[in-house]
Amino acid sequence: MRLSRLPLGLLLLCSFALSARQEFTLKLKDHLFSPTRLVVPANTKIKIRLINQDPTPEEFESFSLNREKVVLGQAEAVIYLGPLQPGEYPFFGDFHPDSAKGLLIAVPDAKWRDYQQQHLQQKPEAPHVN
Amino acid sequence: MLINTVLVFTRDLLPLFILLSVLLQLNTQSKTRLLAKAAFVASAVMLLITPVLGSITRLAEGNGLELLFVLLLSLLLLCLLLQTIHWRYRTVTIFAALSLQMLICAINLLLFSLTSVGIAGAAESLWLGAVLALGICSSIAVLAYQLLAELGRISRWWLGVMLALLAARQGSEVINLLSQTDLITQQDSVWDSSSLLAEQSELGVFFHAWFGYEATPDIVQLAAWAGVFVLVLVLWRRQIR
Repeated sequence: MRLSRLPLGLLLLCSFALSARQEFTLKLKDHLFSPTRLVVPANTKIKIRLINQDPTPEEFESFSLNREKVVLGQAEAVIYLGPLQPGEYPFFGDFHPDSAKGLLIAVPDAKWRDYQQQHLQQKPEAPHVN
Repeated sequence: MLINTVLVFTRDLLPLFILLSVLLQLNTQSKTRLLAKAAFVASAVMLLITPVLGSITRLAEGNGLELLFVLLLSLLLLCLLLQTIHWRYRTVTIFAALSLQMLICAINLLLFSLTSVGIAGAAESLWLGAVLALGICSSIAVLAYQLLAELGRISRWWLGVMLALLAARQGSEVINLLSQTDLITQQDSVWDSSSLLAEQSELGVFFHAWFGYEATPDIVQLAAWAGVFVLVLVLWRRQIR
């Protein structure tokens, strides 16, 4: 009886683990990232859904995040990150480094809550992180 | 476009040419024939993979390519470890290691080449950039080969150290890709040496291709690097005794 519940328990555990990450979207169009400044919570696991709306592939690259990911044209991919220390993490498109540039900003809990509240009201500028 | 093509091609070809300069030192048989066979196998596999590459990249929420690279790099690491276990595996493992590294390069370069599709003048930049990058990588490989040949006359240890550095790079890369696909939890960086030597600098790119230099490595990546490095050195020492 107990053994029969094991797969169900594992399934629940897996679904919890998968749903635990907050998801953010980063779009790429005309070799430009949107948004160019992506604010995310620090000290937590997140995932970024990178949607490439261009017809050609692009490589998301960030040395500070230790990430290098190719996304084909008109396709999307998920980049798993975190937990990140508060700070700024530049990223760029390796195949079009002159135009495809962006900044990921990991903010501490308090700032993140403030940012979310402000963002719900008027979509303000990204807060500065020291 | 041209400058970026040179940079991307150099970055992707350099690991292959450095590997080539080391492995050809170990091979006492016909080097040209071995190279030709490895290139043939890599090309044949590439022909088989190309039609399904799009489907592979879409697997596992767009992480299929990383998982394929984990497989290829793990096999490459295994080949390098087998090198140090026994002499009789030498020719087969050199051939397999070169084929695998050629395949990784070919996949990366094919994906980059797709960016020039439909853009006027891009094809010329691509070819010119590829030729320039080949020239740069070949020059480095020839210098590395000659340097290793000289050092090899002094002591066989140098070859073991080079092999250990290359194997450690593969181990570190595998861990990085596993972390990228969320199969290993990303840890905090042990240090940040980007102000001393940035990964995107010329030397940073060269060191990354050579021994997997990372400006911000995490503890798992560092442990994998050190573990493989020591293991290869221990096995090498046992073999040259």
